[in-house]
Amino acid sequence: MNFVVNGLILGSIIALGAIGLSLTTAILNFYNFAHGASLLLGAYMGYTVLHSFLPRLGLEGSTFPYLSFGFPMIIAIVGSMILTAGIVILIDRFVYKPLRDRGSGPLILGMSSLFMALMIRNLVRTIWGPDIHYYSHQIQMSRTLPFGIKVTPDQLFIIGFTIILVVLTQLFLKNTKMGQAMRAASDNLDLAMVTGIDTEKVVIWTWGIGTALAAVAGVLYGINVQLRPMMGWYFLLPLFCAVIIGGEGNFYGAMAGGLTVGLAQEVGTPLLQSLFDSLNLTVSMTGYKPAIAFILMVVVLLVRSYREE
Amino acid sequence: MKTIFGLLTPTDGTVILNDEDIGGLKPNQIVRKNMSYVPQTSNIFTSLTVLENLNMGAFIREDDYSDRIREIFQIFPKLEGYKKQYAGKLSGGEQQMVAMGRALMLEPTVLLLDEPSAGLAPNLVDMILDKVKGINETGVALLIVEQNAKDVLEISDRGYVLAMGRKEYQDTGQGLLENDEVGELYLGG
Amino acid sequence: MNISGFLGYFASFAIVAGTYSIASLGLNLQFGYTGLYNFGIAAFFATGAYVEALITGGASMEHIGGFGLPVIVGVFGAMIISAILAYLVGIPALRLRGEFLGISSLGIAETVRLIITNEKWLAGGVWGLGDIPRPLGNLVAPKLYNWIYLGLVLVVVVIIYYLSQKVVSAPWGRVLKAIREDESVAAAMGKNVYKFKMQSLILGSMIMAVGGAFYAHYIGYLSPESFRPLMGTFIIWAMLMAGGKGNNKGAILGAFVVWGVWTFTEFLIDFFPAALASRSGYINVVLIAILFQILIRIRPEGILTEGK
Repeated sequence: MNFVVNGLILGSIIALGAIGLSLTTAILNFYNFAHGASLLLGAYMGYTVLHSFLPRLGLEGSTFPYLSFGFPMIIAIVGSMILTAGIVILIDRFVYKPLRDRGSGPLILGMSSLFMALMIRNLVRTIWGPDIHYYSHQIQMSRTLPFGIKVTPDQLFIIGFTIILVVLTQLFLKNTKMGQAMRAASDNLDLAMVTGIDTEKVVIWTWGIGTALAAVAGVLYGINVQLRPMMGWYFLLPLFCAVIIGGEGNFYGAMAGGLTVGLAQEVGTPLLQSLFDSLNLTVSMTGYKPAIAFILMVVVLLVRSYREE
Repeated sequence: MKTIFGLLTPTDGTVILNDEDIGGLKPNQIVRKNMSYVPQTSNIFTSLTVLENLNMGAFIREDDYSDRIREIFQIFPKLEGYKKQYAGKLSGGEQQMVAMGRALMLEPTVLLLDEPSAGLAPNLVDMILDKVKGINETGVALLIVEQNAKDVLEISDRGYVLAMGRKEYQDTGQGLLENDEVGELYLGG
Repeated sequence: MNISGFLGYFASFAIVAGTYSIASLGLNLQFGYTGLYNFGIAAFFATGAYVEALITGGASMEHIGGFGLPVIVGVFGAMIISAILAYLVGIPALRLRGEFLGISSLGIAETVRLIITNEKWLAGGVWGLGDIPRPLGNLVAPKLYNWIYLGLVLVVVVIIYYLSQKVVSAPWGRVLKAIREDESVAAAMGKNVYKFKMQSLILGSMIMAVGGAFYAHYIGYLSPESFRPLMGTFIIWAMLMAGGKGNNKGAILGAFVVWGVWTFTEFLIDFFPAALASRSGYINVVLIAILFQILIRIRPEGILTEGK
């Protein structure tokens, strides 16, 4: 049962990242291999705001009751969203857009984003160093809830915060002009142009919102586990799995896909482990967690392609 | 039609709208010159509601366009009941109405229709062409590309027959219908 | 640096570039000619390296294998195992749309890496796999060995180049190009598209395995880190794209150019202030990434164009 909760926590983080990836994939027609880097940057930007910037303003050290962080973290999250989104929008403007305007296909754009991810990862290693960082060194005790679930207050915050963000994003997409335009553009980009929608602006907004959500996902992961340079790449495969399972451009699908992947990893691993154990095979499944998301995706794709025939 | 609306770049000749050369402009610029376009396929946002589709049509309007929405629903009364339905769930004829309604939100002076009757059952074709006539009567000029030529020529002021990219025949709608050659070659006798 | 030091360095450079160029030729067959997006090159490259090591290497308590067999046996073993892996990958992946082959193959490569990392009994896990012999090691003094090995590698490169050229100018190769341009047309002509793609995938993977095998002998010590996505897959993509996809000479040229840039930037780092020295490896990669972006902007089609 605890596995389910862990799955939901991981799933929430993946879902936040998947929303942005899903939208940019649909509107721009390429697989952004640097989206994991948005989580990475988000986490580290948050770290810098929290531990370098805010202390200069004298705001540090306060914590909310029960949580490992306080109001400064909220500022750090907002700061991270703004900074990371800003950086990625600039990257699109100066790196991807010129390639798009030239008519480069998905392969070139994909490779460009891949090497961008590489660059960001190593810039992070250069600036912050290759070691693991933590937002706070406070060790949280988990509380026991009904059904024997053990969660830490931080983890409850993660789930709650994700829900709030998702609801806000949903309201934005449904009720604002730009939100509807974003949905329209990911539905049918050509028609959006024909309708007179300013697709350039839509693209910028999509990068902005998608990246901001990913940045939060990165910070939340940092709160829950740790910060490390490889975390972007670590999430990349699960993110792609979530987007593909949920359907490109599909907001709800991205969320459902994210939760599914998270649950699959956290619940599937122990399930498979007990299966192997009962067969007397000495295999330790913990090392294969990322592979489970991937296998799930392949299965879903195959089922779908057979159904289409 | 795609070339006129700027989805393709012209290699030769000119496109003139209201005495202005619009060849080479992009779609979102042409839309601001009061010309709207309904593509043949993929012409609605399937994952948006009918009302949202109309909203998108009015995207570049800064004013309060609720009156216009009411007018569109007067032209296509059936759509009002489907306001909050996802456009992708509607039937072919209804989707075509949504597509046209979307294009009319900007109160264009010229409306381009690409094969509006494609894939529709005959009674729906009549309905659509009825609406087309109604739209024309409100002062909108329509340029229609249509394979179902006979029915459309009956309501057309002018018609042009293109073969291999060249203009072969030009006359009033009635004139082309009565033209034996045209009738044999293109209208199936 | 003195002359002999420089020459020695050059030999090392050329050997690694050579093994990468073999893998690049394999990718050219799969992507350059057939249009398959193989983002799992590392799986075949690594398989080739590890199988070769296990077959020709010394026995050990830590892992299976270590038969100490001749290199020829090792290379054939590497090709066969890689072909089997390619076949298994292709069964599901080739039936999916193009970009899904990409993601699937990436996932497979990572899974293979996970297996190697987790299953110590198989190949030593993170502790690595050593004791790999040096072919023809007894011919010359150790100091000159690298030159002999370089010669061996270049011979292999040339053999594979000629085999590739023959295969690609044959009718089989023309079908591949047709599939790359427009699958539906090729299918309409009565060709079993799936079969041809599978053949291309398998053949390409065998070539990559050969590259991996010779990489193993040179490095002498394998660890899963050597085959992480950057080093085992995407650097080879960069090599093919830079050299010119669809051109076998380009595949080889690209390997030498990219590897040259890679190692050259390491030299530049020596001029950096000491404070950054510990981070020099990362700055090196950042520079390469920037160079790649510039390359895509100014000459995306690569150095050589298709046709020869």
